[in-house]
Amino acid sequence: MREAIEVAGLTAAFGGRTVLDGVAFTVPWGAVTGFIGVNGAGKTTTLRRIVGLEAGGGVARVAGMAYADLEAPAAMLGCCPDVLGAAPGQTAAQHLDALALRAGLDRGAARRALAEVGLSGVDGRIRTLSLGQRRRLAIAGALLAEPRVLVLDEPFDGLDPGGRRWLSARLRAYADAGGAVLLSAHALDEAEPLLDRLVCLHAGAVRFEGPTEAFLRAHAAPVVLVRSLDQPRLARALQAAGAVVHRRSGDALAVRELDAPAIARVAARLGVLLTELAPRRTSLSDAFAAAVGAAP
Amino acid sequence: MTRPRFRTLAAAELVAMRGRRLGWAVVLAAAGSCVGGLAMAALVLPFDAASAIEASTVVVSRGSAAAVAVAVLAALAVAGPYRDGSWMHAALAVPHVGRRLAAGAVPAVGVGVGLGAVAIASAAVGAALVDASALRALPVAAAAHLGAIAVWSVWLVCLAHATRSPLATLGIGAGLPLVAEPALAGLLAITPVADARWWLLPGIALRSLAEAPVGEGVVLDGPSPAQLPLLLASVLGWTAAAALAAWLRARGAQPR
Repeated sequence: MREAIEVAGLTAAFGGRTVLDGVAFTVPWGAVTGFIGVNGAGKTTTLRRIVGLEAGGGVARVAGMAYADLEAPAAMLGCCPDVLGAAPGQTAAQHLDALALRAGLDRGAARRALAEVGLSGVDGRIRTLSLGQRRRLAIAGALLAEPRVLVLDEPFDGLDPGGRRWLSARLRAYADAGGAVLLSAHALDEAEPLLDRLVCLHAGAVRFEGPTEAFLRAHAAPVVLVRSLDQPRLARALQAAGAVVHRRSGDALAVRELDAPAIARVAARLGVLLTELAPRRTSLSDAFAAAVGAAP
Repeated sequence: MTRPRFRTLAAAELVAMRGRRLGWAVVLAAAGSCVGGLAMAALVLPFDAASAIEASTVVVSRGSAAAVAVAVLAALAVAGPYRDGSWMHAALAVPHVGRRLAAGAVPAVGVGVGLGAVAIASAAVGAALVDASALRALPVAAAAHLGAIAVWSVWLVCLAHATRSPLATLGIGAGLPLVAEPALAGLLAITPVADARWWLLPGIALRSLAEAPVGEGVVLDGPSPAQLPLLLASVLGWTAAAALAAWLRARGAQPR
């Protein structure tokens, strides 16, 4: 079977500024693919291109077909846009009723989806819902027709910790059952355990595509957290030895380019007592920063 | 799961209109249409020699309230989703542009025709009060006016899709035919229906076409049968232009 999503040569420009410049990647079945990039990298534009909400050059296919050619689009792909997109005067149930009818589903589907996202008791108008409740409603809309592919734009935004755990577990189970998930996220460290693969978009082009572990290996810059009784002297000595030293919260030093034994030797030569020497696994956000550079 | 039928999609659009405060516009328009028909009769009745001709003016006094209500409806229900972002869900469920636009137009046109029917019924009651013989013009007048309000609804729906702005839809939809065109015609001291050039204006063309089939001696100053093709071409041309504008806009870049 073809990949769940195939994107090739996507181009887009807004107001003379190139937003997408030949974006190409695939999203396989049975995996959660993270779509990462700095603000303005073109993630939302790409997601909108996949589902036909944006016009432009290039090709985007879902299960081998253009989204517009799918026989029953809602049954194939569920989309959670970056904004809810609902009339403020409607109730959550009214909003989902219309989505269910458009998808050819009975209205029971709307009630089931509301219950699944924990909104079954919420009957106020959408304008009165909290950010997290709106996000849950948008997710309910994506899950409504039990589609085979999910495209989610910042689905964790606004969710409380319980909601985030629920969504992570739901997406994990969904992918394990053979579904395909493409989600954009900014809270990378929180999303990392969920992401099997990554597509890293930067300046309108794909900078990396592959397993999350490969991204971490490629962009790992091991960090050692160091605490001592004389941090200023130790920092100067480490820098003289070729290390890159940053001050972290509290009195910790984050040291790169030198491993723990080398740091210990520098401290011993200096006669400074170390109170902590902790090699730290590179986080996804660290690797991302190394890959695309820290945002201002 | 298969592709939802067109009827289902049209019903979904009606459901999607809930919560958009459309009820008050429809109720007000229905009330205004009733009052309009009866008020025209009340104006004619005091004349001693009220005849079929005066009565027929009541029959053809179609509901301006209905026409304005259609503009309000299109602004809130069709252009409104572009403002709050709910248009996305229609586009995701029905990616085919023509099918989506057509399904979205059905409820608006249906409500418009319904309001037109209320206006005609009210006018018929008013005409019967003046001179029952005028009711012989009712079937043709009713068909013509229901057709006109249906075309008017289609124009407004297309306008809403093309502008994506409730304010522009309301401003152009209600202001152009009800204010701008009559004001321009009055300013130039030209009787619109007597001069074929004015029939190129959409509101005047539609109004003239709606009044044309009622018959000589029954309505005041309708176009002659020989002029009907031009009138029909004008209305069809404006309809095609509106549909094309809506379709092109829906196919192009979408709002965020």
